[in-house]
Amino acid sequence: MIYPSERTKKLIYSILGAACIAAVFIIALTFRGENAPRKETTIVVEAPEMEDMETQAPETWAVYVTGEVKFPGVYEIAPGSRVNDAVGMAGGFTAKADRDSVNLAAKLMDEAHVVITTIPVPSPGDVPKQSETQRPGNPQTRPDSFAGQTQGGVSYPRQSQESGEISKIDINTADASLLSTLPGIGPKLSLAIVAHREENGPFGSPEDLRSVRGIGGKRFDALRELITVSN
Amino acid sequence: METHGRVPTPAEVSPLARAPAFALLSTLCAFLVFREDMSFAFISSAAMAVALSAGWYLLGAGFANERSLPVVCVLLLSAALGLFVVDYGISRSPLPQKLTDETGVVLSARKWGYSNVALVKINSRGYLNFRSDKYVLRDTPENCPEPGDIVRFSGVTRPFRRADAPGDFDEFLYWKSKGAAAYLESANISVVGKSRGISYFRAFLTSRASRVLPPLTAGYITASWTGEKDANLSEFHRNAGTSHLLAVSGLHVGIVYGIFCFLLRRVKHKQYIISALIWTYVALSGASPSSVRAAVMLQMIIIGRMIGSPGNAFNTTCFAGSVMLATNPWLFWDVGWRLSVLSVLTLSSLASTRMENGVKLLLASPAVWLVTSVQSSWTFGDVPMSGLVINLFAVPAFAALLPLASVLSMPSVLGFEFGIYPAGCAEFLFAAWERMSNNITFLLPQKTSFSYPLLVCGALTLVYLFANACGFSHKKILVAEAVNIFCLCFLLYNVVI
Repeated sequence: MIYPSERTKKLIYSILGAACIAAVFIIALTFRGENAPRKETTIVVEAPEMEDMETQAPETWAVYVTGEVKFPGVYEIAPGSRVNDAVGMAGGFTAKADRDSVNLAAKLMDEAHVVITTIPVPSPGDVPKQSETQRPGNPQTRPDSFAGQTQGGVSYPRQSQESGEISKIDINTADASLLSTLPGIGPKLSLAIVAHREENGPFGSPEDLRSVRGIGGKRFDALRELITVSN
Repeated sequence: METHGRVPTPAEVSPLARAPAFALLSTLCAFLVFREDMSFAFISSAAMAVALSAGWYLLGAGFANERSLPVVCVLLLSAALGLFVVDYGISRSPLPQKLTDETGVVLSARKWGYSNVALVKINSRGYLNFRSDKYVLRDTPENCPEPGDIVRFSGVTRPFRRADAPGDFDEFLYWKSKGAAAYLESANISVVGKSRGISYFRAFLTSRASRVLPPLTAGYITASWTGEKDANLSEFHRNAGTSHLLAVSGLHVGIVYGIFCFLLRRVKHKQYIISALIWTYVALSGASPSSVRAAVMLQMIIIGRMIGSPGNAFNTTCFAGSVMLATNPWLFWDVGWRLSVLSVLTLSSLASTRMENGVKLLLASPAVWLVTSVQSSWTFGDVPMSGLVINLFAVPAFAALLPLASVLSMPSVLGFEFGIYPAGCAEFLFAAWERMSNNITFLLPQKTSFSYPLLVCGALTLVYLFANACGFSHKKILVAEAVNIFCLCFLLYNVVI
C-alpha cells in the first residue's frame, strides 16, 4: 500500500480545509432565507404571584394607546387584558391625563384604540374641585389630578378649603410624598430635597431650593409661588 | 512558543498548538451568527460552526501529526459544551407578564430618545433566575431614578423591539447584551433609598469629582474610575476617533495592573492581592465588556505565570472572549465587546509577525483602525480619519496622563484646599491634549462611512493577521486569502444582487 508523503498529506488537508470553509459559506448564505425566523419577542407567561390573571393565550393582541400617556404607541398585549394594562405598558398617565374619563377596568380587544383625554382646562376664575386639591399639611390626601400642575399654560396653585387663599408648601417641613405633588417634582427629586435638608439643615429661603441637584432655573420659577420656608 | 534553541516540532508550530482558543472563539462566534442572525436550527448551526473552525485548521495543516489528536479531542469537547451553554444563553426565557411591588437597585441610567431609561436589578429574583433579574425602566428625565437608587415599582413587562432592516438599531440585541430581560412599563416607580454597595460608591465618586475638579479633569477621572462618561467629552473623542481612551478598557486595566505590580513588588503572594484589586477596579468602573475582557486576560496571564506557562496574547484574548460569550452570549452583539476583542486580536496578531518592532509600532494604529472601522462605520455611520494619526501617540500619552491626573486630582477629591493647584495642572495637560487633538482633526477632517471596499480591506487584513497568529506559512496565508476573497465575492453577490 502506498502512503501519501507528508507534503501530499498537507496539500490534501489544505484543499479539504478550503473546501470546508467555502462550503459552509455557500450553504449558510444560500439557505439563510429558508429558515423560520426565531421568535423575536420574549415569551410571556404568568407570574406565580399573579394567580388571578387570566390564562395566557399563545397569541397577542395589538392595542393602540394615545393621548395623555407617557409613551403613546402600538403595544402587544395578552388577550383578556384590561385598559389598565395597556395604560401601564404605555408608561402610565401624564400629569395632564383625565383619569376619570377612562374606565381602567374595561376589557380590551384586539385592534382596540385607547385614547386618554386631557383634563378640560377650566375657564378663568374656576376653582379646582376640592377632591382634586392637595391640602398642605395633610399628606394622606394626595391628589391624583391637576392641583398644583400646569395645564394648557394655566397654573393651578393649591388653595385652602376655608379661605380660598393660596396655601404654600413649607419645604422645611413637608415630607417627600407632599413635595412630590409640586409641579416638576417627581419621587426622586422630592427625596433629594429631603436629603439635602437633612444634610445641610433647613432652607433659609425658597431660593435655596436651587442648591438641590436637579432643580434649575425654569423648574424653580414654576415652584416659586407654591413654596415657602418656615424658621 | 519558546523552544530554547532547539528546532520546534511540527506540533509546536501548528496552528492548533499556537492558538487552540481561537478554535473555540471562532466556533462560538460562527454558531451565534448561524443560530441567531440566520435562524438555523441548533444542529445545523453547530455543525457549520465546527466545520468552519475545522476548515481553518485544516487549511493551516493543523491536524498533520498524531500529537494534535488529544488537543483536537479536548477542543471538540470544549466546543460542544460551549455550544450548549451559548444556545441555552440565547434561548428565550419565560418572563412574568407583570411584576408587582418589586424592589431593585438601579445599575445604570441613560438618555433614551426623549425619555430616560434605567437598568434595574431586581432583588427578589435569586441566583437561579439570573436571566430575568434585570429590567429596563423607562420614564421622563425628571422622574427616572439614578444609578445607586433603590426603587420600588410595579409594572407590565414588554419585549424589546427588533430592528426593521439590517443596519438599523436593534433595541433587542442592545439590551440583551446588557443583560436585560425586557422593558418594564411602570406607572408607579418610587425611590425608597440609596444602595450602599459599589453603585453608591460610584455615584458618590462621580458627584464628588464633578463638584471639586475642573471640568476636563473631572470628565476624565470620572470616566476612568467609574466608567461614567461626560456627554461633551464623549462627543469630542468620537469626533477625534479616540473613544477607546474614554471607555474603560485594556489601557486602563493595564495601567492599574502596572501600578499595583510596582507598589506590591516586594509583597509575598502579590498575585492574589493584585487579582483582587483588578477585579475591584473593574467592578468600580462599571464592568464594561472591554474592561472585563482585559481583566480576564490579565487573570490568565497571572495564573500562567504562577504555573510557569506564560502563553501568548492572541490565545489569551481568544480564551477571554470565549469565556465572556459563554457567560453572556448576547455580548456578541455588543459593539464595545466586538471592538475591544477585534482590536486586541489585531494587536496581538501583529505582534506575532516577523516584522521589526518599529514597523509593528507604526502599523499598529492603522491596522486596528482598518479592522475596527468596518464595525464602527456600520454601527455609528462614519469613522473619523484623524483617528489614524492621533492614535499613533494617544495610547502612550494617556498611559502617562491618566495615572498622573489621578494622582494630581487626589488632594481635591480628598478635600484638601491646596488640591486646586495640582488639579489645575491636570486640567492644563488635558486642555493641551484637547487642543492638539483638535488641530489634527482640523487638518484631517475627513470621515469614512461603511462601504464594501472598506469591508473587503478589513476582512483581508483580519484574515492575514489571524493566519499569521496561527502560524500559517506564506503559501497557506495566500490560500486563506483566496478562500476569503471567494467568500467575500459570494457574500457581496448575495447581498448586492
